[in-house]
Amino acid sequence: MPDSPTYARSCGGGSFPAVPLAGFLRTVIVALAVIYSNGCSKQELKNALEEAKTQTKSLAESTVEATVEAVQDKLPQRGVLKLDSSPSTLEVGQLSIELINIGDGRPNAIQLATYDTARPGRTFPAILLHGTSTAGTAASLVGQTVACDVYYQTSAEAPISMTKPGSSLAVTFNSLNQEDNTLNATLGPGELLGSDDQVLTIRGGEAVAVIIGEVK
Amino acid sequence: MINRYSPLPIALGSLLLAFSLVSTPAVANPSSKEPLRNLAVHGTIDGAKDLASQLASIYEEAAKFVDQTYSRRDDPSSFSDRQLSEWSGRLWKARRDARRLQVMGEPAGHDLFKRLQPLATEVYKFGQAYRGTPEGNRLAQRVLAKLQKEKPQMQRFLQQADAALQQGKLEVFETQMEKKGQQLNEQLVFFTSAESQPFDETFNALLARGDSALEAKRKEAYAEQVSVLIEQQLAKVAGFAEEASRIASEIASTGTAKLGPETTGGPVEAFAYIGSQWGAASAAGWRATALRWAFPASKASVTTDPSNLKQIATAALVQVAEAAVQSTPAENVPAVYAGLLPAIASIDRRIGVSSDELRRSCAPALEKLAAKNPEFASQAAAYERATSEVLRWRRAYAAEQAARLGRGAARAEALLTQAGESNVEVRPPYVRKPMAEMPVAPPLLSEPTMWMVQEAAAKLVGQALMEDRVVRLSPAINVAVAPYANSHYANVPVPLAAEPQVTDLLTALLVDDAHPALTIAAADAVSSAQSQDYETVIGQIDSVHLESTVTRLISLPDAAYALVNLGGTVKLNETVPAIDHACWRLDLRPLVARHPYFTVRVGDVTAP
Repeated sequence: MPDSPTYARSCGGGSFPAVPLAGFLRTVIVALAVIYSNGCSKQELKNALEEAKTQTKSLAESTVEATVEAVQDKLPQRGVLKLDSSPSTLEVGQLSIELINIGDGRPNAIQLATYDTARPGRTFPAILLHGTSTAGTAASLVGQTVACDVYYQTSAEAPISMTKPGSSLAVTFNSLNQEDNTLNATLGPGELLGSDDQVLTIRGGEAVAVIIGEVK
Repeated sequence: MINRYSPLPIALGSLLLAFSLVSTPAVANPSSKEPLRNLAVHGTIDGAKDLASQLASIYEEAAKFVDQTYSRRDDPSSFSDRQLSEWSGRLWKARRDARRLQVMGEPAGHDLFKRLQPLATEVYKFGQAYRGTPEGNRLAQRVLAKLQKEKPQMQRFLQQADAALQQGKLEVFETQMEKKGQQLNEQLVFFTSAESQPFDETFNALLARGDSALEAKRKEAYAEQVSVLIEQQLAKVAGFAEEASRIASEIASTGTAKLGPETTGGPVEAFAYIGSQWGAASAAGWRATALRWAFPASKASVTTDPSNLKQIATAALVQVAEAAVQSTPAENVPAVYAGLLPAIASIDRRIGVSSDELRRSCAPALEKLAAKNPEFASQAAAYERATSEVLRWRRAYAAEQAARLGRGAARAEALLTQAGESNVEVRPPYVRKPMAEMPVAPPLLSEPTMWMVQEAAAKLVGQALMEDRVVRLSPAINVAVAPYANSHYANVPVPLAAEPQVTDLLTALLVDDAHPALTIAAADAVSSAQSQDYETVIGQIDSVHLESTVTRLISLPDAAYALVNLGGTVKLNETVPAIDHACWRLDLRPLVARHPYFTVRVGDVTAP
């Protein structure tokens, strides 16, 4: 996890003015670094690059791409959560997973969050999936399905939605990517009930979660 | 759709059962369902209950007579002169008895006096109207002649009565004077006050002197009697302070303490025991305070400031927690720590609005306790990490949901203090409505309670209202209360149908029988969910009861101590005698209850 604060809403809105090549490359690299440090996903980096490309088609495209790839290679994975949901689908370019082993014989807590749980404020959209498992490590989660409560809020002003008492969403962990330190998972269908009584239907979803803790 | 888990009918039954515990006075109070009932009598002074009961019967009989006579007001010649005489005398005596009841510290005496007064006025008016008829005039002349003739006898009687008064034979004086006064008033009902003056002026002056002496004597005697009762209650308060200190010392030195006659326990049991004893001491303190309010002449040696009691209790509880640090072996730390948390949270909820006082006071001890077992300390830290986000989300969700569902429901204070004119006809036609606008639930017993309760009921019953901090009286009693504030308290039948929410919360907090909550926040969440304490209840007012604040508190059982927040106050208007203060009880049919971490809807409740 980068230490820099995450401001997801600042992503993807910038544009790049035409400048001489050397200055342009510097600008792109700095801008990409700034965008990344502001919490953008790989996809958002690519979007920014595409925008830059269209404006400077005549400039050294291959050099730019090579630079971006180099930046991407060095940047750690931030995770992603995609929800195929109704009335609207959702994709968040940040997802972490924490396995918390309390150590007194009760099941371990599994906590997937699209925001930094160690900080007081939340970034939006904010989603938390919370369940329990006997698995104590990320590796042992692979192949397991965990029933998770889901908490969901698209903005600070929006109603909160959560799984109804007694219901949950199945999260199946498919694979562990040790290089990226991530777990891949698929989400099963379910329904959330809003604090405004509106139902949010989740048909399914995909997740790449950065492992941030296996607390024992 | 009504929730299939709804236990409301059972809970309402329990409510009645519980209030047989909570309402100890023999006579129930007037309510929206039974407005004609009399104000309850606390019965501190012997004979008060019987006297109140007799007066209530006289009132009922007199009211019937007045209503019937009033219906024939256009034909005074149809009035019965014999009945007018009889009621004039009886109502004179009854009002004196109502005053006597007041001296006995009974708010019901004030209420009965207020009920009897308009009847006496009306009987007098009937007498005057009858006097205007030929028959009445002839009767008045005959009575006048008789009174003139009996004047020397009356003078001799007054001399004898005066002598009895001088000799201090006050009871003899009173008996004789009341007998004579009743006869006199039977006759004077047909005369104007100017006409009556020659016959009753000296009598009234002598009676007033005797009344004054008798009242002073009775107040002194009652004060002496009541001072003993106050001391008894204060002894319970003092006993609690000693007991709490003893338990804390024993836990500190041996790890266990004697808790009651046949029980011994460790810090966790001691904590819960001190909590319940604090409740009993608080109830005793309020009984003592209310007795002093009802009998201002009484003396008591010790003050009953609830904040002192709170200091004593908090100090003892912190001492027990500190003692637990010393006496608990490392291997027992998990059980003791997890046992103390819900006990602390439960007491905090009964302290009132700023409900984290005890947990803040005990926090250093808890920290030291956990540190005695490093493995447990890291488990508790991991548990906090595993549950804090869940609690944060659930609290926000419950708050939003309850705010939306509660939209349109007035806060109790706002609803009860709203000023307005009466929209129902509750007074008999011969009594005028007050000119001034009154609050929906007036804080003083300013009029007969049966009128007050009916007017309030017309505006309140069926209304949705929001009460904060609703706590269950005890696990054995299926009633939760919104404690006394702003001249009222409210009852809510519990348990509500919250099983799915409670189970879900426990699962989310990784709690089961073998694995308790390991943070104070989670322990508070679990214990409040299980005991059915709620942050807010929105309910429809099912019935309204009008009580006297003084009687409510004098009759407060230990089991209902939560009616007043631990360490809290009951604020009275000090410019008005305590005995005149009203205490409104609202019985709520809950619609929505907001627990800190979930919401319960009873029946089919949707947002407006």
